[in-house]
Amino acid sequence: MTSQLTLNVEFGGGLELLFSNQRLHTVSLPSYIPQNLNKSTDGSFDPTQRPANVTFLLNWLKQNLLKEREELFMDGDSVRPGILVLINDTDWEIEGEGDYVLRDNDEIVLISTLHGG
Amino acid sequence: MSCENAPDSTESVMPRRRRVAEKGICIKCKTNRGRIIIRHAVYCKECFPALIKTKFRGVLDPTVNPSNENAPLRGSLKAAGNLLIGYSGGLGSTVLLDLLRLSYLTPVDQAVGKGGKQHPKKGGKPWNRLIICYIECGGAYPDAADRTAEVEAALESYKGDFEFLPLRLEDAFLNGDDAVVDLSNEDLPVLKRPSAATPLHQLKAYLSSLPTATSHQSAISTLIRLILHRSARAHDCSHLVLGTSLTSLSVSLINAVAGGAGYTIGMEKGEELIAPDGGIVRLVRPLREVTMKECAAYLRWRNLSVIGNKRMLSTPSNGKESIGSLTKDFIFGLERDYPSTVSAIVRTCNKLVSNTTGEKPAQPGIREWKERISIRNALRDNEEISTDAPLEPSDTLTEDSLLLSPYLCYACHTTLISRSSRGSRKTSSLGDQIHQVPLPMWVSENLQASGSRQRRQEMKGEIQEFLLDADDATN
Repeated sequence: MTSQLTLNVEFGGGLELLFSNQRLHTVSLPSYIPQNLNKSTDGSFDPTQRPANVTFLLNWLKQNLLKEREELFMDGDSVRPGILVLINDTDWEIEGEGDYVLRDNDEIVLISTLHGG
Repeated sequence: MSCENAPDSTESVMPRRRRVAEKGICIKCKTNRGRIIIRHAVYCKECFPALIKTKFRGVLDPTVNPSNENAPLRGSLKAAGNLLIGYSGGLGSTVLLDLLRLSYLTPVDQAVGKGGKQHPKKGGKPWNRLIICYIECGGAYPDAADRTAEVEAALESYKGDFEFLPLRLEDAFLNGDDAVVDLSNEDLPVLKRPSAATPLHQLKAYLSSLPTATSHQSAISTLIRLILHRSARAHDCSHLVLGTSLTSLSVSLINAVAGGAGYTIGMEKGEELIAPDGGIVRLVRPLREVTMKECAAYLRWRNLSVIGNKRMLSTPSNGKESIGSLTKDFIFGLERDYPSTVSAIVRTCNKLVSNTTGEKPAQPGIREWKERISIRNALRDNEEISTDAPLEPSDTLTEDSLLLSPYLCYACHTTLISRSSRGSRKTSSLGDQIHQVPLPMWVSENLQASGSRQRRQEMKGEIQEFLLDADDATN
């Protein structure tokens, strides 16, 4: 069991402007959510180890790669409305949204629709 | 039993409805695994682009042929003039360009179809020229970079089939006759004041004189729309297409209602712009049935890219949000959580019918209506509100004030004189600037034309009893 996951993250639709104007990022994440971030739905810390999911990835991106205007990327624990998320070329609504368990070499694409018409 | 407010006084937020999509096969081909869900229907990556193209052509094709008895045979498309494409570098216009190229630039000899009168081949350009018009708006924002070169480079692959027409927002103040308006007076008197200011300076002066962030955004949108209209006429275009998606259209419709332009939203489904020489330009939004989410997926799977706009990262002017930005946040949230609601907004507005034709009309009596619906002054006991008749405009645009107010719709009048953050106009921090605000060039053109029409009508009224009927003249 690997302790780290390698993920390919791509930003499009102008969202790359928030991430150093770089579209493609290869990130390395722990396979399991660190204990200090592992919260249950009621806000208490969950003692069971949970595998890294998309919600964890989004917060990691916010903490480590996002350079400005956090409110244009995140809305709470999810992406701001208007951002399409594709997990391995599939709509994340089909894959379980933030609860999708990440696997090694997954491709996550985030496309903003906020650049309008 | 009474309906009472909930005892909890904290702000209530509608809980986000979690949507659980079913994994499954494509609803169209029934074979491939579904990759995207659009309003409860799942599509595969192969069927999805064709779906978007079908929606696109379903809106645009019926508008191509001129509606007259000499129109080409059903099945073949031939427009009366050229095509102007409004391009901003954003998501909708990028998708629009790709769909135009895919749909209409197939050479006739490679087109699908048996040929002949009964089965005409569906290929070839319906329009003689296809012109991509980009309007640089950097002049409206402080320290904004000029993106024209970047846009032209991004459109390199379209050269040969499309022409590129770069314009600027300050072009609205080119060739003006130095008409200025006094925004401190609600009647909006228009005067002529010679000015050596460049069009860019005049644009900045105009926008900085507007009272609110909403006015600023609304004015820019209006300038863009009218520059596109005039460019379409100038280049003999029969069609003007914009990349407005279903989501964007919903935003602009709700925005229009919030800004007081509800009178004209029935026209948003399509306008016919009639030029002075009688030529018609049809304004079409072929992506009006395609959501932003669909545009984003199409962008990805067709390997297209938008031109990032750093102005999107700038904070709103004066730190205050506009009605437009608040509406956008609301509608985008709706699309995520309740996607059918967004299309319901557009369908409902489509049912509205305008009782006028031509360009966006101005409902009469705006001043009187505003007087009736708002408290303008604190009244003493037994004091009645004055109901004097509105001031009439004078005949010519001269040093004597010509009043702009009677010729404006509610939304435009409010854009110029909204009573909000600017405070009292007499004590405005803008000083004398507010008394001589430059106007776009078409304002005085239209005022003069309106004045001429009014004079002709008045003269005709005076001699009406002496005019012969057409039948009497031939006898």
